[in-house]
Amino acid sequence: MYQSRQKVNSSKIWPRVTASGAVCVLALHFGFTFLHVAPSNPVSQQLAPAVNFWMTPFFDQNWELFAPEPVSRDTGLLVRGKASGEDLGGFIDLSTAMLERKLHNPVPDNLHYTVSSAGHNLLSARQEVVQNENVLTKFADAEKSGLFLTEDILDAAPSPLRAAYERTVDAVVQLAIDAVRTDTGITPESVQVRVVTHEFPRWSERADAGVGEVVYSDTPWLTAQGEEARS
Amino acid sequence: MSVPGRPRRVDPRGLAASGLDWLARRRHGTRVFSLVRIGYGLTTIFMLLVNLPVRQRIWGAEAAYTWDLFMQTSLAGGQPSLFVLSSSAVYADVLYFALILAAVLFTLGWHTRTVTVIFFVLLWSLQARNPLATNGGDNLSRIILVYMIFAQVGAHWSLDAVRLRRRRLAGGRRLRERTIGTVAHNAALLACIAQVCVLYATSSLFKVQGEMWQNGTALYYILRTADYNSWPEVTALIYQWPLVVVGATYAAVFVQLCLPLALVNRWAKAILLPLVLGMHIAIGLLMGLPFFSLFMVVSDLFFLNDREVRLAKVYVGSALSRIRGALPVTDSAVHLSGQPTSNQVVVK
Repeated sequence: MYQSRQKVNSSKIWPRVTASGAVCVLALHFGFTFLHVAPSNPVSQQLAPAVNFWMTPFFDQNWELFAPEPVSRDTGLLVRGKASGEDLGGFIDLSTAMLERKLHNPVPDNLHYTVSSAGHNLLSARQEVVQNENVLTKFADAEKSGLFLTEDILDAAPSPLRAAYERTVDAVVQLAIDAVRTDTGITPESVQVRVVTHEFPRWSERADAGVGEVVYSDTPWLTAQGEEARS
Repeated sequence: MSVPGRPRRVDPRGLAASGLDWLARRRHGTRVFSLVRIGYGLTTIFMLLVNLPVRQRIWGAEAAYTWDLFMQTSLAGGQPSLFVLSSSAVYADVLYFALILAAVLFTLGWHTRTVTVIFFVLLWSLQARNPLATNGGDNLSRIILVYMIFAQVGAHWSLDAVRLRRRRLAGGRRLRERTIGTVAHNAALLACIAQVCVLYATSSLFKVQGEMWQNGTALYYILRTADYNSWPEVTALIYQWPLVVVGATYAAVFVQLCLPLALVNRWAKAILLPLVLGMHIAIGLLMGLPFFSLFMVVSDLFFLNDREVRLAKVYVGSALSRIRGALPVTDSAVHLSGQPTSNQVVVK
């Protein structure tokens, strides 16, 4: 080390220059990665456009696995359809079929995600909108609205939140159309989505085999475009 | 590093130089990379085969997440995918089976650099086709795959390695390792390790903010969630025991929080790595998330170094030969084939 400092020949310099370049790239990349995964802070807010440009789509990531709070309720998805003004049978339970695919199965396929994620995404995207500051200043009781948010509330939300919510509505509507079509053979003109939320017993009441609190919430009848159907 | 007889002193320039030389001189972690390659490859093949009967319902023409929806959302969200070229069931199948083939070639290490790129493009395309059907394991592995494109991941246990060895035995010239390739390889290794650390640090720091993780009951709620409960009889038994629930809840957070320490301390590694492997295996079995679990277990291999992989190989090899040596000569193979199997005991 002491000798090499005195006579560094060029065959040693270029590898080190290359390596320094790599160190810079790594520092930059993981600097952005840090800002991407860290909670929102003044630096990440200031650099948000650059961070988003660098991280999406290929390095997009979210590691809030069961955090900060684990899921403490079950959500079930039920759907029903209407064609030419007639109901096409009752509600179809999408979630139970998926749970049965997983039960006692050590290697379930990925199909169950398509239902559980659709439900979870809808609920969390709705939550993001109704808890947004801009929305709350205009509509103080936005959190009391149902699954399907009104145009006024969506207008008040920042456009990325609104777009994310509308995407999840579209996904659930397509899921419903597909389920009704598979069940009845008829493509529905409008569908209704019901989310059943079962808050299971808290830790202190875990021995209680009782069902716990169950809440139903329905969307209005929706068209294939995810808009409220005029009936 | 220090000259004998002189007191050690901190030499920042020497330290920086040796750090840069670590990057530029020799390719590190080639065995670890090869193991991860095989692990990711096999997990992907396994996942694709299990999903074979429902592939059209998730990524094909019968998907409830329709092709139009995919075009409006994934593509508009800046996620390119080969699935944009056609909505037909046949094309979806072509991509699916091409991905299986790419995963097989990736596992075997055939023209590894090119195949890694093809494997990534096809896997990315599939995941982008239906974002609802992915999980954290898919997310981590596809990021690591980007880094793996820059690394030499086919140096061991691969068709590429066999071909190189044959060429060398035939008197062919050895391939010269270019410095730029070595630097890219080592930087990719550091990136993989850093990415796995980012996962554990973020995941644990978000958990410590949660009330249920603080009061030690988080595991109870996870074990009761119907979506992640493949064996309700077993999980119901587990959450009857407060000690188990509280212990495992805190352990999960501590292990994830401390895991990066495994990189700097051998004892930390010897304790933390088996714990995190156990955690992921338990998640895979109890919560019905086998592919997530396998991707995580494979990614945890980045906490090992090549010396440890070699040691493990020697240990496993000698254990296997001890088992074979202890077996009576008339083992089942004799009855099955009618041929003596004593030559199998010879260990090279």
